[in-house]
Amino acid sequence: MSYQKTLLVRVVSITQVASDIKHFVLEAVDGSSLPHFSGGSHVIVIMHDGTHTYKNPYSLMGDGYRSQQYHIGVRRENPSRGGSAFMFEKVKPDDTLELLPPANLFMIDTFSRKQLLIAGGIGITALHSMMCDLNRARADYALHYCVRSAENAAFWEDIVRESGTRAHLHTNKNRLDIPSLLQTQPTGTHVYVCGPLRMLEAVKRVAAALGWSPTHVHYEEYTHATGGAPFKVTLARSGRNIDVANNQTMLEALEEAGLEPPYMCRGGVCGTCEVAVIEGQLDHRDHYLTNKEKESMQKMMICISRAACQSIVVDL
Amino acid sequence: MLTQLASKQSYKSCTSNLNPPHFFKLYKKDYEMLITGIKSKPLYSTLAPDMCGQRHLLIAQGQGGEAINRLYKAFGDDAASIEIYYASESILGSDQASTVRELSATRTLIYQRCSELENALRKEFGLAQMGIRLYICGTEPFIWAITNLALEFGIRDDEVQQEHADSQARQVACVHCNMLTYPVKTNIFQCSGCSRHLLVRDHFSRRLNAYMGVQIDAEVPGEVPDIVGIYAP
Repeated sequence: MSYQKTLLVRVVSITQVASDIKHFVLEAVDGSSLPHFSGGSHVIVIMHDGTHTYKNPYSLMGDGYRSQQYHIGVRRENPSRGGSAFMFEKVKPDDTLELLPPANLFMIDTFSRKQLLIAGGIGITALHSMMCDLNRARADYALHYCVRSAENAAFWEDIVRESGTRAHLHTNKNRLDIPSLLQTQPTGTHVYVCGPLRMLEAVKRVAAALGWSPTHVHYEEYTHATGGAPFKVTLARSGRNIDVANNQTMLEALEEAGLEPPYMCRGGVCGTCEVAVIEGQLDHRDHYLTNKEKESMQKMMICISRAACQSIVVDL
Repeated sequence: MLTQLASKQSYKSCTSNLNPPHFFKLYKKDYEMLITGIKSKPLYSTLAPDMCGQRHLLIAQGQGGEAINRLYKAFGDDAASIEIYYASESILGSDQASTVRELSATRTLIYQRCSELENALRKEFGLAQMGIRLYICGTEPFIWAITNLALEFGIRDDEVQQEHADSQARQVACVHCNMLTYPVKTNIFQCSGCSRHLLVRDHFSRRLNAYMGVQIDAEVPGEVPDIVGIYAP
């Protein structure tokens, strides 16, 4: 968004921490301190790759009160639309990156009595900063980190150092038993899940069955916008036609055409980029609209959702 | 009234030089905006089973026992997961203990005083696990005492239902001396702490569990509008 001032950062180091995960350390180009952030925050990394611009959200890790450096973990997506592959393969130490300042769509509920953090794979990056906040607040919490095997447990040593016995590692040999975990929690417990959709759904389902009210279940799906069939967008107000390529989101296509639609999360969570749809069938992929709204096919989140037909008309 | 107030030095000093204009009369329209249209005034509902919960605590006092009876029936076959906490104490003298005792809930605990009920609940909340739902019915101070107690244990809005029964009397906090007065049944009353005439506003503090009371005759001492019983019985 044009009204947000971007941060210019230098890549200090890049470390491979698992077979498909790299740890990036970033510092302000002018050496100044970066904005503080709360647990669960993310930044959007703006990547210029030739003519293409990618804008991917990445969770900030570490202690948001000590923000001389930012830490992000990037997983090589397969297939990648370009962003994560660019970060993984083309970005080198000393390169300069542009960031949108931190925003938080996955906040800790500070009125709760106990916090349960459940991470699946790369989802640990979103919960890592929460862990730091909870340690500082001396809050009661437990962190459950689920990975395929111990070699895939990126940042685990660091987590154990920070959280000690509050941290639990679960592998395929020692799977997390979600029902027995949620069954014995005191009133006022909140659960935060970040990982694959399957894990989110399992936690939501188990919690509901045990009588947890939905406001105690917080989640962030670890997903980036994936591509799909190309389609054409007609902007009703200007009459312009814009093509959305198979590896592009509608938001990216509009930006490439010189428009500046508002956005924030670029992951279908925040609702900022909502657009009214006049005509066309939609493939909703967001977590913002209600099922009823999705069925009505009258609005869409352009950062992640696509057309389910060859062309749509929107009120822009 | 005025002689009583005059004994307070600070009050005396600011009022002694004033000559109240005797033709001045304060009408309700003059202070109406102090009372109504205030968003903090709580809205209560009618208790209904929330089948998303696993364990249901029906908590009532006085006339609120009628709501327990009604809610118990509404649960029907699911009444097994119900526990009843009831205190006979009632401003209206409406003791429903005998009716409540007949309901075959998992557990029925009946107390004389609301304070005894609160102590028992504090112990219960300390052991309770996620999945609980509270259904509270009674006077406003009772509703918020239980709601605030639950909040200490992280039990929040969407796990708590509130229904107002028994007396409509309000608990009022004096903004001048902080004293709580209960029960207040009139639009204007004399503070139990500082004896000022206080107007009861709809401005409600969940933390204090009280409405706000402000001096009605601060500008023209002694000019007190008609006192009307509006929060009764």
